[in-house]
Amino acid sequence: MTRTNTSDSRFLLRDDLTAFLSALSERCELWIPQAVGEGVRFLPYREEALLNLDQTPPDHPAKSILFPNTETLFRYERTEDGAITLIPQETTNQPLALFGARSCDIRAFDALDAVFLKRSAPDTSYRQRRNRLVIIGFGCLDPAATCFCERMGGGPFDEAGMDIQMIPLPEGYLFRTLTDRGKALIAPLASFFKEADPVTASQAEALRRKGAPHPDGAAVDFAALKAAVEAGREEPFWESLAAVCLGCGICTFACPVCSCFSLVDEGALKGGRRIRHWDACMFSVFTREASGHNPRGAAVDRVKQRFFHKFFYSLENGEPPGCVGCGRCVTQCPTCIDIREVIDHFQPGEG
Amino acid sequence: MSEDYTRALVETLREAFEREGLDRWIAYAPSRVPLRVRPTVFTSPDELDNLIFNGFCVQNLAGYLKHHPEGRVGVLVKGCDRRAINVLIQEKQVSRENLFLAGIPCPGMLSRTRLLEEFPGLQSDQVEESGETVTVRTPDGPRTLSRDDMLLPTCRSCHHRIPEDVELLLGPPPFAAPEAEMDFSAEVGPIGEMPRNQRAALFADELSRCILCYACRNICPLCYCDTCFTDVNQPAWMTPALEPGNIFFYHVNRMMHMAGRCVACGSCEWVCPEHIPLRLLYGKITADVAELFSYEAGLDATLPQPLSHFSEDDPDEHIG
Repeated sequence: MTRTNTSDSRFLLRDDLTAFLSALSERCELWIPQAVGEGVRFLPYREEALLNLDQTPPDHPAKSILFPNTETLFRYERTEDGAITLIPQETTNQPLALFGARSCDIRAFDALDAVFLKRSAPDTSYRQRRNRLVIIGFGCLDPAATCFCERMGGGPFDEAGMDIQMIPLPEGYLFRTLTDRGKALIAPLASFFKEADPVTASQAEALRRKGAPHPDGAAVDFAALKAAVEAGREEPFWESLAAVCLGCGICTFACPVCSCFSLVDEGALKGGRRIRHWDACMFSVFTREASGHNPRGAAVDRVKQRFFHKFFYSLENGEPPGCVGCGRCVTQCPTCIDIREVIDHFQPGEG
Repeated sequence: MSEDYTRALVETLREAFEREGLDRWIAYAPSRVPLRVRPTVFTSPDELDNLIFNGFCVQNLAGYLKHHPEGRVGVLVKGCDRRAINVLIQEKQVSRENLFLAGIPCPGMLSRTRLLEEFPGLQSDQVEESGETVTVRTPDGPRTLSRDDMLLPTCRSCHHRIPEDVELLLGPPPFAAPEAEMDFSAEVGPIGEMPRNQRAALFADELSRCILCYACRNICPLCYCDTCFTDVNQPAWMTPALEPGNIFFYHVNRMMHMAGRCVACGSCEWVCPEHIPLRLLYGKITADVAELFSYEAGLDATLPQPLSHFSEDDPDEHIG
């Protein structure tokens, strides 16, 4: 992706944000973080949606814009003479804009890209969305007590992967345009912005440089962690986690990196569809084979798999680590299975 | 005061662990996660130093009996844990003689959601429970709230806080909400009285947030099937597509499976990451069983269950 030479900063007044999003939504398929029930999730823009930029991080990850919970990969129809027609997914070239995602979610896209684009056969459905994606990321002012992005190599103002970085300031937002793609997205909306005055620009710069005070230990040495996890494969530690794990899908569904899915054909004689849906290594049926054999039949095997995938297999395969430190699984796991404790257990003295 | 209570509790339970020669003890331990405790399977008396009991010990521990069936197990039970165990005994899922139950008169559990709403970013060590109040230390000084106001919805209508038929009845904690005044049937009554389309709209709206993570099923002490209908694919009763039909099918089926069994512990509602008021949605079934059979689940392990029992003198009123 082409980066602009110098980042170009413009200022949007807080009061103009609603009108800006409305105008933006006419130029692209726009997704924004919205309050739904008591949570926040990324969903396509609607005029009546309740924008929420305050929840850190939003309790749903942004991955669903690239990897929907359920998607129809293709449909088929069968005519009376027995001929079968495949109806592919509809595609478009319209830009797909993700607004207001934090750096943790955007770094997680690297891990998703590794799975869906960089292995032997790129995933066409993922690729068409990824190619259309333009990201307006959100500088994260107020990381939660359970956030640990800095330990995982990121940071609340990390701009990696963003086309535009939006920095919240008292009166509005500084938009730092980082790529040509970002520039093209907002160029037609120039009238919403004013030039950033030097005071505003320096406020934003100070925030960006400061990052966030981090309560939670030193940066993780992934090579050392990988080796320690491997050496500890048979440790009783895993049993202590598995003893109380419910085997539900909360941690994997809340994870911006987890990308396991299953394919299901739904159909009748006249037609049907193939769907892809999120699945979870924590579900006991995820690995159940047709014979009835389950290679991960015990809870401890499944708990271990989740962390081995994140800190061993991903790295072994030359892919990014499977955790960006968003802390969603930490806050949402009903039984307090805490990935930070897994890291600290295998990397003692770092915390 | 509550520290003294915890210390005494630990010593009492440790003594019982050793004396009874138990294999494990299921209770709660502290965690770093705000306003949550960790359900824990303690495997030796020494480990009990880490045991804790406070207003965040919501999760019904009876569910762990299905995961840890071997040997003689001690369980710290509140009223709802104890009643769920009664249902497991009725359904022959556990043997009473393999259990050593330490009953704790339940003070009523606190709503994590309500506290976090009121105090965003709140940490466990800022919360002090005592008597009928909860004091929250904030940067602007302490704020004292009524425990009753901060209770989990399910605890507001619980009339069975004191566990019965236990090996060891522990002293009451030095913090507790007053006796519940609300009645569960009255609470779900309005849902039952809604016009059908309005009720359908309520269910559709609330369930639209479901992500099919199955935490409600997995935490439920009474969902113990080896293979849930959701996981059967021959025939496929439902597909895993996250669509309203499948979501509705899952919940309605689970709901029907809970009839006459649900002890209204509220674990399903508490665990739901989408805050779907499952206890209320499922509650009409419980209220119907109470009305039709004068039966409340889990009160007596020796009684037959209304929906798995045939009585020759059944009036069979529903048969024209």
